[in-house]
Amino acid sequence: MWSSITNIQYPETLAEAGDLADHENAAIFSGGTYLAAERNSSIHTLVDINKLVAKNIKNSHGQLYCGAGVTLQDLIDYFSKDDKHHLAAAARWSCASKNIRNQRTIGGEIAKGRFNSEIVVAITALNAQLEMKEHHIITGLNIDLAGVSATHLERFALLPSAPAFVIVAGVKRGEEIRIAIGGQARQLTMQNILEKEFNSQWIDNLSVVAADNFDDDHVGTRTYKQAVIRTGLQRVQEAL
Amino acid sequence: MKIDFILNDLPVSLTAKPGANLLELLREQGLFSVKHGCDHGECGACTILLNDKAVNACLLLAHTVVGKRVETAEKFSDHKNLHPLQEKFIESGAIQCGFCTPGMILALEALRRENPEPTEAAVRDALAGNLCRCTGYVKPVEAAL
Repeated sequence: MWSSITNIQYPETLAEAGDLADHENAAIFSGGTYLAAERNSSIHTLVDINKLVAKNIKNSHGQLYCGAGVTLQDLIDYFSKDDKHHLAAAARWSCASKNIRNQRTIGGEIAKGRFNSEIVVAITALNAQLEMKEHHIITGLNIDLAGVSATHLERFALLPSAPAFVIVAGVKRGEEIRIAIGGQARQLTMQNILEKEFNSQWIDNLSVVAADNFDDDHVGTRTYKQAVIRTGLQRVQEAL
Repeated sequence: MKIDFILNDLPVSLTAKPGANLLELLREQGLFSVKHGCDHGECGACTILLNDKAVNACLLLAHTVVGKRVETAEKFSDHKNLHPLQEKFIESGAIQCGFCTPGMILALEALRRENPEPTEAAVRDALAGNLCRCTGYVKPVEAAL
């Protein structure tokens, strides 16, 4: 029981949803897996946008559109037969439980801002453009897959089903490579580099920069994570 | 608030407080196969089928099931005839204390509806959200194949 909830609103439009969510003690609600688990007692009103956000995936000539209401399992089902962009794998790694993946939406996963989410790191490397409507409600994302020639994602975790503490993703488009680094970090690290400049010196430098976003913890020191990031970047370099 | 949905093939109209989750609502109806485990989506003991997909009832606010189909393990057995998966669990020795079993059966039933002949990898993926502290996972996986 989320006992602080006294009211559930069903807005007719996203503008109305935004207005309602602007009130103190209100929160936007879609899949709800994070909200229902956390049960923040300061939230009294849920603004249910389930009927307002798209739940479909379209891929027209490499222009991918994914509605914010698409679940992580929908993504897996859509891409599992041809996962050259690692989106199905990333969605599966982001949440080991299929039960939860059936509920958790991509919009919620992005809004949560969890940097150790493989799908968030993967779509960042793919330079996904968020579609946002009134009051910054995420309604979908667009990804240009047409120009992508190769992608690779490396994750480092204590167990295959455990959350990754370092995630490194790389996407090659023409001469350019875009790198995104996440994990148990304070923020994502993103850099673009020309393929011919993607060398060991650049990898060393980026490892140092990215490691600044990590802390010492039970998994290891920041220096250890710098080494792990370097290994991830080297593997991405080899794969691309 | 009124929650109208299909519960184990029968239309029902239940009353719930706005922050109630489906786990509580179902247990209030006497559906005790839906176990109250971690209450945070970690253990899968409260797995139910929502429009044929396995989900955790503890993470599902009751108002979100309006107009949908909900199934619990009670649907699959009349205490005389068991569901084929339940029979296989017994044959394989995949049950010990039984707390996680209804959730596992429903997770596997959802998989069976998607794919009647799943691979071992698909079975393990389907069970990844269902924790067992007695028998482990080898026998439930064997039972599902």
